[in-house]
Amino acid sequence: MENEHKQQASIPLSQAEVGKRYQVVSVKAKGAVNQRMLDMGLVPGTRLWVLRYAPLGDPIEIRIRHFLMSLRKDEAKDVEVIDIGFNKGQGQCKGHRGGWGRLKKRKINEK
Amino acid sequence: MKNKTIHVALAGNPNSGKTSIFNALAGANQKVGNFSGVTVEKVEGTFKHKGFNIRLIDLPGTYSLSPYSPEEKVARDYILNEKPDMVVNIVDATNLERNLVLTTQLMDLEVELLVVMNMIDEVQKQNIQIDFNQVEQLFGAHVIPASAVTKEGIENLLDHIIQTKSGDIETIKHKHTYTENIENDILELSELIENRKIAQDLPTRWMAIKIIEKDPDIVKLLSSRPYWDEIESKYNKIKDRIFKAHQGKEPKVHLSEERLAFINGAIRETVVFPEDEPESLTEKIDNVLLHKFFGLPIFLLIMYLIFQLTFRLGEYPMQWIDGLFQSLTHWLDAIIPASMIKSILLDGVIAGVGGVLVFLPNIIILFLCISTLEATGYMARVAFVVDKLMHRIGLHGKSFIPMISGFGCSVPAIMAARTLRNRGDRLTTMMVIPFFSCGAKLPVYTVIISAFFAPSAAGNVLFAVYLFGIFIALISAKLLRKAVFHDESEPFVMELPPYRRPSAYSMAKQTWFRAWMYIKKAGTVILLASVIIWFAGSYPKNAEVAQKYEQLRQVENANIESLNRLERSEQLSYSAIGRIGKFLEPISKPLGFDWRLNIALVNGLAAKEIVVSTMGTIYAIGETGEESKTLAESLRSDPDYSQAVGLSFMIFVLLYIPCIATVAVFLQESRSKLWTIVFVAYTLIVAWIASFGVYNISRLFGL
Repeated sequence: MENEHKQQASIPLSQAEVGKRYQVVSVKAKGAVNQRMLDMGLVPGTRLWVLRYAPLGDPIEIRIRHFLMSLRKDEAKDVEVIDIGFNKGQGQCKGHRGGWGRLKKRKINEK
Repeated sequence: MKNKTIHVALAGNPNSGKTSIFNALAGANQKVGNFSGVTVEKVEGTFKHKGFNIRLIDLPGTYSLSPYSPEEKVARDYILNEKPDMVVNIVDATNLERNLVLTTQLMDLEVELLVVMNMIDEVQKQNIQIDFNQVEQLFGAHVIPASAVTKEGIENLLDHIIQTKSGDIETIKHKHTYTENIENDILELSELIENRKIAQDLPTRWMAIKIIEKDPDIVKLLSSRPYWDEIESKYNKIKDRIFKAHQGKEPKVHLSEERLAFINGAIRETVVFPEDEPESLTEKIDNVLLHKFFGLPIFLLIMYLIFQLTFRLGEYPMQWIDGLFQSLTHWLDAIIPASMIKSILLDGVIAGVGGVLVFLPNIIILFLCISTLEATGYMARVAFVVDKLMHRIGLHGKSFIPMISGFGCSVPAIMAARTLRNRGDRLTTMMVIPFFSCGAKLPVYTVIISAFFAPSAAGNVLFAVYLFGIFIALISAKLLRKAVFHDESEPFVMELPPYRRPSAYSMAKQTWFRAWMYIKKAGTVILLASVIIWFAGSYPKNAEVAQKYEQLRQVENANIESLNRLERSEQLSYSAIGRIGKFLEPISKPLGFDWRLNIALVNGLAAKEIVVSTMGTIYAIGETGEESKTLAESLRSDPDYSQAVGLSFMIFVLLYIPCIATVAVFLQESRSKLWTIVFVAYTLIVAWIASFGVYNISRLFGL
């Protein structure tokens, strides 16, 4: 699985699609933003779910570990992620672009 | 052992329930001050427990102890410099992964640590099992499950604090161990620090770790020292090794990852999550409240409700308070014989106290609304929804509520800015709030517009004035951001906390606390200022004028009331304020204001409501209100005034210092005399420049 990820091109989190799961590959943010990301546990290897963009298109709401967090696109563009697809075992979530889409069941501590 | 004082600092993440625990422990004995040198609020409480005095400091809520934000710096410096006997780390037990990051950093500081697992009732509800003994073993600190809501564990926490201090409990001082390579680096650096006596009174191990992380504060502290080269070369060696071994990672990032890995491991060993995790309620609510299409209308509706509640519903109790003071005045008027003392008491003191108390309904309702938003978790969503707009002018999404509250009244609006944690965001917001035209300025516009503009144009002119205020606010915010607070901004990377049911008790308490602070602090300043303004408007009196009117009153069939009015009008020009008005003419002439308008503006410092009534006095018109039409008429017929003067006057009223109460609250909230002076000067200068521009441009158009 790790190798599979490495072959995939990473994208900035600011371009992530709603409803999908991603894994952080690198964080290039600087200074206070970087520190805050580290403190929130947004580090390489972390998996996250993109829940939605704000009604005006910015910021982004994501679920990471056991909590929800938000960050501006401007901050998210420094976080490189790879697509690890929709939630495994539950199939795809419906209408993930519309905002209602959500992942039915989540296992947080996946091996 | 009796009467010993234990110095305890509370540390924890935002939303970890730290303040609720603080309230549960300290009760009502709270003191609010400032951490020395910075405008970060310091809440302190002292209380007794089993013969011990406990001095409790509520450190600002932080995710970490990095030196990047003022709050984090304050928390860290406090622990390092003030050396509390014990640090109590409040942890949200439903969200251990993130909360324990701070715990590991506290472990690096090697302080006497006590971990409180708050929200234990939630944990039980969510069916999460935590092995507390195991956590104690791993983190080397006593762990106390507690809940600020059910008060469970609070007594136990107090006993623990005392027993730890008196030595009845021995804590297993356990440091957080990094991987072997890093531990070797720490050891090497620690030796260097010990040998060279670098640490002074800072913890050695912590300093070594901070050198590896290249902490800017520690670098600053050490870089001028003779042994800096030696430290730097060690650092570079460590950095190169980590860089090679971990795909180009910086040491700081690597250490953070090690901490996270330790936390993840610890959680895997100690916490059992329910097998079938139900869809979280918070996400369900977010699906509605943050919906792509409905999110914005829902947000606007909530804002509208808050505004209406605060300023519409608030109007009723304001009228009661006003009425109460009026009947008090009438009553005293009837029983006290006419004298100077009576005048001071009625027109100065009672009017002043009334002026202070009249804001209370606004403050209380707005704060109830805001603390509801905060306690439920919607406040972070407010920021989420409007951040895109606010970010354009360099502000945080949370600035929105204080700003729109400014349309009602600047006093509660400035107090509402305390939801902003970052000093730059908060001060910028506070500085521009007065430009959002408050309710008290409306009567001024109404009089001026009806004096100089056709009824058909009235709506447009009024709208333009409001828009102009917003425009100036946005420009000012952008300017302040660029020029003064350019590097001070809160990253938006933040938690959207789970929705929670607010506790009515703690909300009521917080709101009352704010209201009481306002009465105590702002009250004294406003009261004093009102009395001074009253004096300046009444004295000195001209004896000749007084005599002239005294004679006129003796004439048969004299209209005493009309004569009194004329006398007041004439005396006003001799009073200190009248003299100030004349004195200011050279500065106000370029704006088209003569000394009479100046008097109205100076009096308007007490409150904007007074501008119209002062003009009424100057023009010797009876009680304002229903008769303000006649005031408009006399303004219109005055050859000195024109549409240009009217526009210029409205712009000046829109932009200059709203009132003494605002300045007092600004001082109370910013806790900075310098910034309060800047605030006053800035609004005056902006008002002057804008009015000057408006006056001259409108004259070009022949208005």
